Amino acid sequence: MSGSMPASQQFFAPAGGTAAAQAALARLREQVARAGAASGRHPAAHAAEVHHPALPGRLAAGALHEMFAASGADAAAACGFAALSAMIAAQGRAILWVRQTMIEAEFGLIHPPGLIELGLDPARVALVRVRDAGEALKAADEAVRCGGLGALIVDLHGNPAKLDLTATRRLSLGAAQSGVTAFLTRSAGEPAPNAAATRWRVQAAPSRALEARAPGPPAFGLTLLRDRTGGMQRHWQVEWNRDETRFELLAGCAEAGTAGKPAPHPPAAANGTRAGAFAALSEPVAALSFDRPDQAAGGIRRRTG
Amino acid sequence: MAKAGGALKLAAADGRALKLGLQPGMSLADARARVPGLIALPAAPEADAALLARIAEACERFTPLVALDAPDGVTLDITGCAHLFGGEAAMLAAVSAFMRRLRVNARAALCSTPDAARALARHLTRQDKRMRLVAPGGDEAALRPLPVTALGLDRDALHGLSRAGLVTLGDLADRPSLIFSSRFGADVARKLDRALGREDMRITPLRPPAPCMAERHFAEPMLQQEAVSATLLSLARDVCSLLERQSAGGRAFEAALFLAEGGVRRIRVETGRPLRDAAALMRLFERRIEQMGEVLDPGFGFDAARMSVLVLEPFETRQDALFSVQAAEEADVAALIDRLTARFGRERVLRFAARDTHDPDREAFARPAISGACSGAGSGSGSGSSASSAPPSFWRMPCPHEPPVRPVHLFNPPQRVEVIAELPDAPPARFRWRRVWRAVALAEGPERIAPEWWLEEPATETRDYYRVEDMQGCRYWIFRRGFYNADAMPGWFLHGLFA
Repeated sequence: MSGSMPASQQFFAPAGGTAAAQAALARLREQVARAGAASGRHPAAHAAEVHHPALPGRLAAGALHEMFAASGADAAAACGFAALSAMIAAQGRAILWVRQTMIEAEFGLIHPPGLIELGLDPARVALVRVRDAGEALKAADEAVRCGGLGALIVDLHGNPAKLDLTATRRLSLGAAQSGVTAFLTRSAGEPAPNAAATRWRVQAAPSRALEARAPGPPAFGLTLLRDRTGGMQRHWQVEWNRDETRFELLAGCAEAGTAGKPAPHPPAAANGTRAGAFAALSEPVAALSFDRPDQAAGGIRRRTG
Repeated sequence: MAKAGGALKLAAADGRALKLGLQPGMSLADARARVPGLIALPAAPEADAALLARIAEACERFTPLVALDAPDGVTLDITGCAHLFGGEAAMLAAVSAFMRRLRVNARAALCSTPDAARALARHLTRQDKRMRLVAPGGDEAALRPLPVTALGLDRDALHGLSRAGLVTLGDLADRPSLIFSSRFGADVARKLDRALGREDMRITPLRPPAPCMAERHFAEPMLQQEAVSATLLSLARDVCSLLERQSAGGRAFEAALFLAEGGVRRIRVETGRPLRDAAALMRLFERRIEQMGEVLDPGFGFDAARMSVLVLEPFETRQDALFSVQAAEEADVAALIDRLTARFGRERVLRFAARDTHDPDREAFARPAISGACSGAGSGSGSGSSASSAPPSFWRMPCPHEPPVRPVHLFNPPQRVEVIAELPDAPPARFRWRRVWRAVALAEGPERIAPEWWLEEPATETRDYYRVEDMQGCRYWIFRRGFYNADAMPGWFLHGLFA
């Protein structure tokens, strides 16, 4: 083992008793490496990545993702985006939703028929109503270690002091061990350093108007504020396609600041390095119907006024 | 020591007053004449009843079957319990010692029937030294010298018996009971039969006896949290092995910790499916204890502990759980729901259910994820109508290729908004919600939702709903209540937010 160590470490090793010290050091390194491997992804559970086909950025399974509502009125958008991401991540398994009662007073109760309209079956969702952030984190801590769970959503209000680096790291580690994908949605909160794998700002985006100027399918403006795997801040506008269970790109660009410019082609499968990951997925990836018909023949007739 | 009646009379007297010749029932004026320095206090029957209830609860450490014998007695059914305390005499002594520790001046008798014990305890003689043990079969002999008042009869019957010259129970016992029932009513004969054990009589315990339980008694009061945990774990093991023998599982468990100075700490947990795994049960109790925090104050220590299964259900052993990944996942999630319920309470861990209605406020509701297994809990909101584990689904499926027509967030009650519409029946052009004016870019509607006239009290007026989107892209569900007419402008409300 000591032979494989870099030369610089051998150079800095103390002169006396080197053999024993280095053997001990090697043993420790081995232990650390083993511990690191053990804390990796749950082997059997979830080979696939959670991803939004239209997004180059991705939401890894078995990790913690943080989503900020851009403003008070965008809380529903952030909640909807988290619910949809959780649904994709859960792959048919149960979803636990931990909510502060404060949020219910501020932004309303979860309306199960609205979840159905997004394509999420309410029977798969269990709701835990908690009084404060401390309780929310306790519940989340418990849930994120439950391997049978598909995804976890935690709604927090404001900037609770309890949500610090330690708490988020606990959640991240638990998620990595069990394979549960955790989503932390924050309404009326400010981003602060923590251990989340990605951090998003979500806002409602103008939808494509249907016939008779009716609001179209849900559209979201997403800003990737931070990604632990690297990369700069980016912005997309996506639309949720319930019938095909995926997001479609309305507009996207590589950097923040030029938001709103429509992207001619979604960069979905163009990235060759991730082709293997995409191939393992059962859901449609490349076929993006950017100009699909507004409604099927014989659908609801739009009316207004 | 005194009580207000039509005239003020003594309701009770303490030992010193009795020695001075005062008796309950004596008028206060008489008593004052005899004892000039008398201290008289108003009687407090509620406080007495509360004390008696506390005593009865504390007595549950001796046996789970405890009944109140109002206004001043407690009856314990110790069938099958005496050997735990080293025999009947030792148990009687333990009960008396416990009462002394509670600073209660109590008299105790142990007989074969509850009525005999009740009569005897109230008429102990001086050499009994406040307790009396009657060996099996000795009831009649022990009761014979007691006065007829020991039966607890009403005044007319007592008066009649004394006029007939019948003074002791022995006098009654020697005569055929037919005489008494014809002359003094059936009550006399029945009470006599019960006291003498001719008629079988059981007490009605305060709590229904649990179908399955285990308990521990300690020589020394136990103070440390670790010791409490270890005791609970060993009790959980006992209970689970009992359950296994009955091939059953528990849906609701209760641990009772008895304080040395009287009083009981109860911890109750419920589960979503039958459980008989001691480790899992222990985890639930730990969550609950952690949540209770200060409530589990040991005071001067616990001297007994009992764990009982309140609700029993057949336990199906599921082989497929070992092979099917999905079943294993479901069991995993059910265990998680149990743990969260133990921590936060059943009304905080919820699942969604649908109602067959088109009223948006009522079409969906949240019910406890652990559906009503425990009849005694009574805290579940809305669990009564949905006790079945698989509620029928009324969820309306969305139309394909249509945007969502129901919001993800719903305000209950709806929030009032100010609206400017171009025409009376047109969708809103601008509206003000939370002090911000929002210009409407896209709108669809109205979708008219009429009240359900077939209900006795229809909840709302007719509502016209609009889906609107503002310039930023936020989508709202707004409705107009009522119609435009000459007298009143209809109100506008925001009912929900779309994703």
